[in-house]
Amino acid sequence: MSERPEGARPPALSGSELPDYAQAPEWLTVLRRFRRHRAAMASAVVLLIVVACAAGAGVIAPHGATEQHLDRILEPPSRDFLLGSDTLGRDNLSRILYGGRISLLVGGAVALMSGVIGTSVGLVAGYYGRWVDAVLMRLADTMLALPGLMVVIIAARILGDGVWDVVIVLAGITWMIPARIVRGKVLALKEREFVEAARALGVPNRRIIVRHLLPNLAGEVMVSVSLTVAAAILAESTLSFLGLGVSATRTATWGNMLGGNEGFVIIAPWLVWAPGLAIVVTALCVNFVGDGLRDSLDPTQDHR
Amino acid sequence: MIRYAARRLAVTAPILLLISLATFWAAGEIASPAAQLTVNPRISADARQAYIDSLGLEDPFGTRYLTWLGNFVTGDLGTSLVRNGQDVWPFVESAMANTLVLVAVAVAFSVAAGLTIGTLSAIRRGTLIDHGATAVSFLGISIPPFWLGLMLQLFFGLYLANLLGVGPPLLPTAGLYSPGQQGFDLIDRARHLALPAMTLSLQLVAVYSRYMRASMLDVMGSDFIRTARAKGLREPAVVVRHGVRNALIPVTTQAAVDVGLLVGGLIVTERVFQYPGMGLLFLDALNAGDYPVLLATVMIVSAAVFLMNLAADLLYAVLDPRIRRV
Repeated sequence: MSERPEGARPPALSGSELPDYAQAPEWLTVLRRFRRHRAAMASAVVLLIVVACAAGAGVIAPHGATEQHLDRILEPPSRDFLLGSDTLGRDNLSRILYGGRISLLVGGAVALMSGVIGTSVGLVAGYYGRWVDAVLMRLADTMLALPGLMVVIIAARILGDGVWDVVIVLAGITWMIPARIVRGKVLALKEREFVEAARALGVPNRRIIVRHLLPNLAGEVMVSVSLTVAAAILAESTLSFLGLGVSATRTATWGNMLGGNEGFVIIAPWLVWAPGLAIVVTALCVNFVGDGLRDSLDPTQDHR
Repeated sequence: MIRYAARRLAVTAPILLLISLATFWAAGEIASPAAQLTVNPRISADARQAYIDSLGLEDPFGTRYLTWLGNFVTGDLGTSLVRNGQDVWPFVESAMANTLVLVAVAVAFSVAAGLTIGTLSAIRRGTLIDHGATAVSFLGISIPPFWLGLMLQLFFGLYLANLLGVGPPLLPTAGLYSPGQQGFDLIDRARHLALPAMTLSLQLVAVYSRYMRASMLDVMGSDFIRTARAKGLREPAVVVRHGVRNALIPVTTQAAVDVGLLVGGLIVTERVFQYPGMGLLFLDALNAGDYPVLLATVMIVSAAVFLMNLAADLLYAVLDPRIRRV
């Protein structure tokens, strides 16, 4: 997104609408490129189905998430229990559908929160520079140089086992990547004419950041956020597997279903297969969508 | 270069101190020994108070921190709270050795496989090989290592065993040695290492091969490759001597920066396979509230990972002189 004539336009000094730098024609191009990316398109469709199934769990789930059939525990997949039943006689499939709500919610919420924190930090650091930049980026570098999962485990242990505890912990360890990406982009943007013009006209810093820099970062932030969704779903499942994520006594998640059933790998493999596949399929689709998004936003570069 | 290194090293000590402070605070929040003592009803109030005073458990935070730090730096890791007051160091030592073996095997395999796959998919860009490698690496970053571990256990412990009929499983699914094994046995040890190493490797192969592919594509497009071809060098020589060698520079450092990822994989892998390394020691200490072991494992692992990152940055500056700002 480099060759638009931002510099030629007058900086937005009045009116409450966003400046139209990041407006429609470019997004249509991005969408068209994305639709040509076959793996990403297929993944987007699968992902929509996954989200719809989780959201509609109340309608499509054959049983309740906590409904027990104590006379029918650990049954292999059958007509009554399509994916088998667990140690408490609960329907595996229904729990996966309901659990998906939490896993997806955690993934989305973490990505959103870390995106917001990361973008803010990156904007402030890149725009103000000097010691603000030095302090914030040193913090980000130091946090990136820590053993992430270990920190997350400790933080989760201190904070608690609610859904939002897990979200806060994971957002707290993932904001650095968007922050670094945003900072890099801001450093380049702030030398551009349209920012210089705004500054010359006496536009306050805060307004320059919100009106002139932020809209131009949308693409990078979106890619980073989408890849964080996958990382967060995996991290939540890992934490829950270790018994430190969302507590199984509160609600089912794909991760805590695996953690709780680990001991039954041999006698009830379906309890390990099904939630795991749900995680893998979802994470895979999110990663492909993120990749497709990146390629469509910047087709000139071949990304890793 | 020396100035850059000096500047980086100058901030290292304060950051390590900060990490130790955070570790000490966090471990106290999770498993404060003073709080745990009060739970035991069999200790009389006087005995308890005497014990607390002798260990300085009710000293101010700063005093306790400095005492611990002083001991830690001089190699005194204290005594375990749950293992009958045994010294922590021997546990940590053997756990570190086991972890290093696992990491060495997994990383060696991953580097070899990752670099080969990455190079192949870069020079055969757009072919079936490239697409296959891409699919595999996306799968690699989308499978949580703990689930892969469970699947491998299931596959080798059940499906393959059923297929091959009765008899011992092809590969053991947990532990370090077979039950009853006395002393060192290379074959047995290697068999027990196989599944954890596989589990740890998939993610690394995926990541390394992506880095290598991107880096190779970058390098193969540069002028000196065209020059090498123009002077009549054979393609394999161009790829290996000029391409791979230059592509390795960014890959080396990116791989070193990813040790944090490696530790994450290590913790869950060791947990799934009950492999007695630092990750398992850390989790056990966390669950048992074994404060000194918790402190020791967290501090050692964080410091190691942090220093690896620093080393990676310095290495990059040595290998690529363009990166000496910041």
